[in-house]
Amino acid sequence: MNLNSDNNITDLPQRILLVDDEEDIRDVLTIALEDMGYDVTTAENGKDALEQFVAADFPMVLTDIKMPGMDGIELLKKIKQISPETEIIMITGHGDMDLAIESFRNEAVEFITKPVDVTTLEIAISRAKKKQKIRQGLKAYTESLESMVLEKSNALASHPARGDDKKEILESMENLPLIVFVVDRTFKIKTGNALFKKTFAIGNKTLKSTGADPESCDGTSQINGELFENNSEQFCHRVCRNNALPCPECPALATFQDGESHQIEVSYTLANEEQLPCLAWAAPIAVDGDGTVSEAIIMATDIQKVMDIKDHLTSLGLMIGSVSHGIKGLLTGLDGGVYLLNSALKKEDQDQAREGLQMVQQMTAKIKKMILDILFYAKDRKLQKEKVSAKNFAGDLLNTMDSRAKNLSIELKSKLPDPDFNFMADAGALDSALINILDNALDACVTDGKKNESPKEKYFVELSVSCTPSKLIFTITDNGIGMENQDMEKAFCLFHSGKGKGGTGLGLYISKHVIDQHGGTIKIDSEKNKGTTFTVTLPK
Amino acid sequence: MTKKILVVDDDPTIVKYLTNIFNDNGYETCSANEGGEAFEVMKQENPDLITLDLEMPNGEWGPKFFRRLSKQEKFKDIPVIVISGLASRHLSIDKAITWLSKPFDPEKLVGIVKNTIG
Repeated sequence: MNLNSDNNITDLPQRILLVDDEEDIRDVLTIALEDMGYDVTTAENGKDALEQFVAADFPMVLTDIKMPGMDGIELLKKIKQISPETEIIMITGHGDMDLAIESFRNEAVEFITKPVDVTTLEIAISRAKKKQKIRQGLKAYTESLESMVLEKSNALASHPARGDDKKEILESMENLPLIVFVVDRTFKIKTGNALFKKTFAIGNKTLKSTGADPESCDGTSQINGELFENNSEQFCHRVCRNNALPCPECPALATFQDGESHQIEVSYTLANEEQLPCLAWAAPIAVDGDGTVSEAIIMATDIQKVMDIKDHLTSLGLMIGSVSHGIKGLLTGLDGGVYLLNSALKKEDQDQAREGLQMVQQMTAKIKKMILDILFYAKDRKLQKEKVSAKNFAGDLLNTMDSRAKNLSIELKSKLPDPDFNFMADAGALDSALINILDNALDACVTDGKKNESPKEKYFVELSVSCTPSKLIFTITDNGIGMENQDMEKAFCLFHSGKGKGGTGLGLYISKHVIDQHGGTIKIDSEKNKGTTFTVTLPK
Repeated sequence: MTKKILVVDDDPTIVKYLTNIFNDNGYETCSANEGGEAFEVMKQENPDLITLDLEMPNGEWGPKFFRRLSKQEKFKDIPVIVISGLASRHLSIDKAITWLSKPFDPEKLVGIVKNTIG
């Protein structure tokens, strides 16, 4: 029997819903998926996909992230709401880092990067399938577990000494490293453990601690008399999420409806407005004679660290892809320089030899910088602050940039402070942060191919350093191509590059990271075709 | 008559590299830094062969380029060599005569070109 049903699962031609706004990609992927033995349905946008999904539930969805109208993330969220078991594979472009991370947070299983190749697609699908199997097994297991719990809690409900049992449960939960609280059907908080009170800054004034008189319990809806002392009604949606009304996705709401336990990932709002991502379970804890759940216990655990690790792993994965791709381009460029140089020497062509040498130098510098960036990213070092002279520091920066600026015939201007002053900083880290910005400014003046269309006065990059009594300000201005709004918004995001293949998307991310570490801020003002100004403000 | 090669790549260093290789081997060259521009250049220059990078800006990347190329009666039979930095063979490039991974061997490239257009 078992064998048969197993075979059935594997033999069924899996149905896949494929969503992409580009016809070419749909065509190509459909052929590939059909070759792998899948039954493919296509949709050209999120709305269309959702309609198809509602009409005929799919076990697997492959969707582009960036689509006009409803994008892949929106679609992912909606599908997960309808059918949490559906596995969703996202297709991302290079540099869609934020989107990829967001899709992981919304339980996408896999992502593959564009342009899609067959091997990656096969691997992603087989991983998604494996996950699906595990999930199915887990579901069967939890279902049997839940029925056991329900049995026990029903027994508990009919047991005369249940008040004591509950008291015991709650007392044992008082010091658990979990947020535990109990709500009634109106979502009024009946009690909470120590961590609950600490997390949501509820003092003893408002909520009595455990151990109040058990006799006050009316037997059905109150637990061990842990009531709000001043009788002020505190609702969990208000306390935990600052919502005036109960939250529609509340797991306790579902528990009150079906008497079973439910689990969600939720973001709680702390007293200081900060968000705390949590995994929350709700389970029935008090059941009326007629079987209605009168109170639910909610247990939540802080998953910030898990989220951070998940983000970090995602970014490392993307980084390896992005970097290996970038390095291939640079190595090809290096080959190109060597080739030019060789062929020039054979022809005794001085000009070409110079050009070849320049190309080699340029590529070597880029590779060096990329490797340093990667090392920096891979190893998050602590700052080693020392006293730094503003004038010397800026002078060193200008020296470093000088040869590259001359090569590109861009004027490097400066406004240095007079008299000089000192500030505390990790000179090495800050140096690399500002060099990344200066490098970007030079790049903005040499966007290949386009600069000849509007010959204007000479390109320049200016570094100026000034100070106020408490602050130190670096401004880096160029009169290059300027930035698009979307590039400006994402400039500091990991792996976003406004330069297409020219950048790794690491540079400005690192700059911002270093400046954040110094307790400073960084700001961009830019106008397309006019130029860009970066303002870095640091505490002295 | 000298044969002409169209180099399509958004990285100017690589365009320079490729055009130099071809010029040194007695071919004429022209270039474009993205798919849309490639069609403009094609109309004017009538190339005998195209080298194509797959990832290009403005959504004009490889597969789209192929799609457009295959619809143009005049150009659809021009041999295309894909030169790409992607990790493995791309789905849509079956239509290309061959596929080289960056960094590539210039001698191998010239060999393929000679075999194809003489």
